[in-house]
Amino acid sequence: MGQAPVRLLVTLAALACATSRGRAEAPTDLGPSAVEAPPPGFYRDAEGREFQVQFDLNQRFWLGLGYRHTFFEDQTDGGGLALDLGFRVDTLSVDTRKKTRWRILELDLAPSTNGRLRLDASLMRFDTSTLGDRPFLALTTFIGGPARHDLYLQGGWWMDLLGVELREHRHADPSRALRLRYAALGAHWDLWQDADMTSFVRVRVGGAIDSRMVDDEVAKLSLTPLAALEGEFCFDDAGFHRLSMSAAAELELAPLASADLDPRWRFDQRLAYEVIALAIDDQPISLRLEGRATRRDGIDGGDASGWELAAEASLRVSLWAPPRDLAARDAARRLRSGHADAPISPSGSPR
Amino acid sequence: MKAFLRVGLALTLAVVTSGARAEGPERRIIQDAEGRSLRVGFDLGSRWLFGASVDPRTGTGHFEHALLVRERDDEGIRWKLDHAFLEGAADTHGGWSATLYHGLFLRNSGDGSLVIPFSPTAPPLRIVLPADLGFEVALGSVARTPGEHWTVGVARADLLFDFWRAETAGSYLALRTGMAYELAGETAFAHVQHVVTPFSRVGLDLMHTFDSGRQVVLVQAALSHRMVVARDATAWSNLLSAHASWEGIVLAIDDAPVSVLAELGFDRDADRDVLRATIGLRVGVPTD
Repeated sequence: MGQAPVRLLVTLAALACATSRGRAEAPTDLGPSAVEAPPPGFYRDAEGREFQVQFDLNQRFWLGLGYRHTFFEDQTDGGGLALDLGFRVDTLSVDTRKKTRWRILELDLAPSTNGRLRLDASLMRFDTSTLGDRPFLALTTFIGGPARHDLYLQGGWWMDLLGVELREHRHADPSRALRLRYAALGAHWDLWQDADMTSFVRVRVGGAIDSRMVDDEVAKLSLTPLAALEGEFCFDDAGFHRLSMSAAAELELAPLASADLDPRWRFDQRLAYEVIALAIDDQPISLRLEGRATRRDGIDGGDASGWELAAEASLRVSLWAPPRDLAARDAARRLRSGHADAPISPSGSPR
Repeated sequence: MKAFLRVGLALTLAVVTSGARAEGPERRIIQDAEGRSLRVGFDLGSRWLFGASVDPRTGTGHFEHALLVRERDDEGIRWKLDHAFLEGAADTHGGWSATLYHGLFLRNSGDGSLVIPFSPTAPPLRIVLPADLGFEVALGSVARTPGEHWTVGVARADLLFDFWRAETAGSYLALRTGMAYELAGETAFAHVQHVVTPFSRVGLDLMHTFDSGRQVVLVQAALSHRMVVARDATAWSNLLSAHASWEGIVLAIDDAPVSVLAELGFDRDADRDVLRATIGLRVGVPTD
């Protein structure tokens, strides 16, 4: 990537940070003389115009367009347009102990990079996290006198329905590999999460039923155990700065297929930062930077194996994105710790 | 004789328990400073047991399973009943054993007497015994050693004299004698041997439960003089077995005890000597 695009991205990011900081602090300038307070998450300027200054990017439909530069396993590299879209809804239960996350119709498409096509899509991804109000395990130790140590369970289960992964390489033979993921199911354990479970770090394990087809070959059914370490972080109350990361490993097995399908490893590491730069009619537009490293044995059209490294910068238009429910977040904090600013640690005690 | 037994018992207990109070297993729950409940009293005779241990000398791993149920009456004449269902053990060399049911029944009366009503009109006969009486039975045992030697224990029954006479279950010093009948063979069932022990077994058992039921010491020794009846010959053989173990709870997970087990065992029969020294862990789900 040349220096000019980098300089441009840095400038945009700095502008976005400055803008968000100004917006987040702006409501505190309102004095007690304000006639009527604007709704939570909105700001009224001197001319009486109200506009949204807090956004929940976990509740939105987004459409993103950007540039992705990829370094392929065969020592070549190239760049091209990348498109992504999706719908996400997160809900927090009334008692603030259960978070449910829905991701629907996600698409990630890089149509042409050095004669290669990359497409990932899924119909629905679902997961739910529960914070137990009773200890998951109560450990009593008897060395040095009886003492009780409580462990709280934070976690839940997840499910994916109908995923598609298409890889095409026009200059290779065979040239196309398609993987269909019919369903995946598993459990996750939240190592850490904040009060309203917007930010978290978790371990996810489970299994998937896939089928893989190379060119016009008959699809072969496989069973894929998988594991991932994932995290999402929202750094500010206004919801302007978000960081997400994941490191996943899958092993495609073929217990139901013919013996010629060898086990295949798949690795996927991603790190992404997103910052809201501006809003048009209260619909935020954000800048997103992402780096990813993937390896898919035998999926790049033929049997090629190796790592692909990609860097992407994109702009996302988000629709809906209501203000964050900070009242629920504060209630959750009070409920769990009694200390207003203390996130909840896995042991259930204030950090 | 009575004085001798009491002195012997006192000395034995002093050595084995190092002054531990002779308290029985009980379900005792306390609260910590934060008001949380935690169980500190356990009954290791009432649990669904899973265990794994290893012999450090040979590296052999051992696994065990049992469903233990302990019952006892609290007033009057106490019957202390220890039931063990579906006992199973296996090792990494291919040996295994299983017992369908194993029961130990000890009777304890406050004054150590046995009352026998011979007639509805005459006063009952009251016999003062120096020991409590008890029985032990085992039904449906199967065992296989790595050398293709197998035994089927049809039944075993022992009469016990418990000189400790503890009011609580889990502690006894018992002299035993009994009979047993089992089948034995090598690989195929064609050459089955009938092994009969006609009240020619004697043994001594010491079990002590202390520290609110969190620690148990068990010492057993027995000598059996057995008649082995084969198709063409009858012979007598001796079986000597000795066993000592200590088990202590070090952790409880949701009030389910996790204990450390140290075990030493020795068996000698006509063919071989077997020494076993293991250390391991037991996890139990309480059934009381």
